[in-house]
Amino acid sequence: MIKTCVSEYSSFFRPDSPEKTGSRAFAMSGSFSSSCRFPSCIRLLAVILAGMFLLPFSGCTKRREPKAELSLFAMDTYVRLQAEGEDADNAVKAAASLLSELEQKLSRTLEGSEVSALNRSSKDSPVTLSEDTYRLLSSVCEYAEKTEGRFDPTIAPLMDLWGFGTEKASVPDEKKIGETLARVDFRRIHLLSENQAYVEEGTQVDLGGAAKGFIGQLLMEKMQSFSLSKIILDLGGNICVWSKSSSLSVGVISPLQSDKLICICDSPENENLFVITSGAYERYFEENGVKYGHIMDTRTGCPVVTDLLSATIIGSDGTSGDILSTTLFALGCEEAKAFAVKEKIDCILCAENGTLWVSSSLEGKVHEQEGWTIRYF
Amino acid sequence: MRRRLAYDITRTAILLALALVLSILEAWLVPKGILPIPGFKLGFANIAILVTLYCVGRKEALLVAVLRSLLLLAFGGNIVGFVFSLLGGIAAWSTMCVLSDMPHVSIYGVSIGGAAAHGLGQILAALLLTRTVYVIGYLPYLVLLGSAAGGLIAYLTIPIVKALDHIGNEMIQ
Amino acid sequence: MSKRGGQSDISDSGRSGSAREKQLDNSKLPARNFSFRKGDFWVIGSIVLLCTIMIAGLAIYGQATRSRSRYVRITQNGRILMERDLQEFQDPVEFRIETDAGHMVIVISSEKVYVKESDCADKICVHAGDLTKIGDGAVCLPNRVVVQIVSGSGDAGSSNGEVDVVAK
Repeated sequence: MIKTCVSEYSSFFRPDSPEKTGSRAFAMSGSFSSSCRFPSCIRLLAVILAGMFLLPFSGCTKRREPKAELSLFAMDTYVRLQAEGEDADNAVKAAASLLSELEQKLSRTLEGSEVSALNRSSKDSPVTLSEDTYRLLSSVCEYAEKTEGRFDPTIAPLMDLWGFGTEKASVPDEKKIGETLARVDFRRIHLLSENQAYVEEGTQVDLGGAAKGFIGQLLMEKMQSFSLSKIILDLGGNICVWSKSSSLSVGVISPLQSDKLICICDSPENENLFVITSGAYERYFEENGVKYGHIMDTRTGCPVVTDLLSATIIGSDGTSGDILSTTLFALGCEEAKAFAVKEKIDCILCAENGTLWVSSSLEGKVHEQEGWTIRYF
Repeated sequence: MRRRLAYDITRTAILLALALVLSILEAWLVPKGILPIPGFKLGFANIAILVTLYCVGRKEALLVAVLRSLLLLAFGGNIVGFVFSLLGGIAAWSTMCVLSDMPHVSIYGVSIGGAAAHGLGQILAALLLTRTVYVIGYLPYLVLLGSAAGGLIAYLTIPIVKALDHIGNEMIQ
Repeated sequence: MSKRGGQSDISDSGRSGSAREKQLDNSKLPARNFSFRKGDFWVIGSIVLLCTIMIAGLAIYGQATRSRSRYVRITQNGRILMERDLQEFQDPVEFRIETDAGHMVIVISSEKVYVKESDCADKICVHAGDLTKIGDGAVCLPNRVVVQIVSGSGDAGSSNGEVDVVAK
């Protein structure tokens, strides 16, 4: 109905002579059509508005693009790669092979990996690392410095002591914690020139805390070299999305109920968005009624005591996102806020009282879910 | 000319007040729960907007529609209701403007079209606010219900327009 | 509509001196058509038609989505162990899997699927709770087992209206 009248209108708007323009001409417009009783600007506005209300309902004929999805176990986690676009199949396959290649380099548990070699190294026999590994190692050390050791890539022996990820997870005795803690110090990693590095005796490097973000970033780069319109990477809950011409919504899981969300974030168009959450709600063990989370406090050698339920980093850099989400979680609400402001990190801090502390730069891009209230800082 | 302006402003203000009263009355009279989503209205305030459109002008009608939503918000409404009434009001206004300018369409057609658009605008608001596509399911029912109400609204509006025309003519003489 | 249209081009009511102008100037306002006209039927007709089409369309769409039944898919090391319609499980069934790391017990009923027991250390799969919607899933890393709810077409994407992906 409205469509037909729009076309009628376009014929009304044609002034009968070219010099009859401007508001005066329209005031006289009654002469050429009995229907033109109103100032044209208002009429135009009305037609445009009426059309606008119909627009959202007309855009339903979208061409479906090829999709590809691949799920696999890698990096001690479950990885899902999804792509949409002409080259989706090839992109996903290329990403999967890159993923296993990177895993071969970065895993601590694989015998032949570069990280294992690094852990066997000493001052007299440093190892030469590949470009990727060296880059990751140096940025990990850089962030360890920045967080004053609250994030530490040498925490692995302590994790082993507590037995996280094994059947025998239990609280170790304090003396052993103290002994192990002495070996946990990122300053015991020495970066040399020409991609060489070594660690001091007894120190174990585990890049797991940053590798997923780093790998996500490399996978993203790889996949973007194909002709795609949409990429969704899920590396064990660390999300990276990109969409050429639409916004994607990324939910952040509730630390209290695994089938609920605390909020939904909109991704910007044609930009990478990493959403990386840390919390102790998924990996923990219980002993004598106390829950012990898997994120360690590098000062005490025990699981962190924090007033946050989870910390989520929203950003375009995966490596730092992975590192900093853990750090912010460990810092606790007030310190995390201060740190985020200082380092200009966009984040969502989920506090125990149901408040979501969200960086003010994310205003309008984060939508809370039922039961949670957003406050900006 | 100047007297006409003052006259229009006064009438617009009175009609705005009428729109507000009608909105509140609607909230009382239409039992809660009949309409599927909280915030939905049938749009009885359209009477005031329709009268404004017929007796004062288009601009003023838009003014009444927008100010009504704003004032309802100011008088203790919530932001959800505001978005619903604003989008509903603007959709209704734009449609009524277009229809009232078409030949062979009477006040009934204008009002019914406006009411249907009011429903459409509200669904759009619901889409924006709830971010779920399921609300579209209510669209046809809301539009049909609203259109029926639109016919009634036109019937109620005719005597008001006639009376206002009469008053206006008398005043000039 | 056209009754008043031809009479005066002057929209300015300032010239109210002449007798003819003693009427209130309504030339800018809609025509006073107070009885049903041809165009009204077009308006009503198109509204009714559009609504009917929409109701019919929604009914068809609703039928289509309702038949989009939920399947439970259990994979181990990427190999599909089972993929069956939840409707087949009117009575809950305990599905037992032997793995390298021990065993897992998955309870499947027509409403939900959940991991009841697992020999893994961290029990993340058990903490995942009830899986009900298409797109829900529980992953057990040590056992390399994935339990997913998928649609009939095998699409594991998240359900309509929900988010595209969830950060954990």
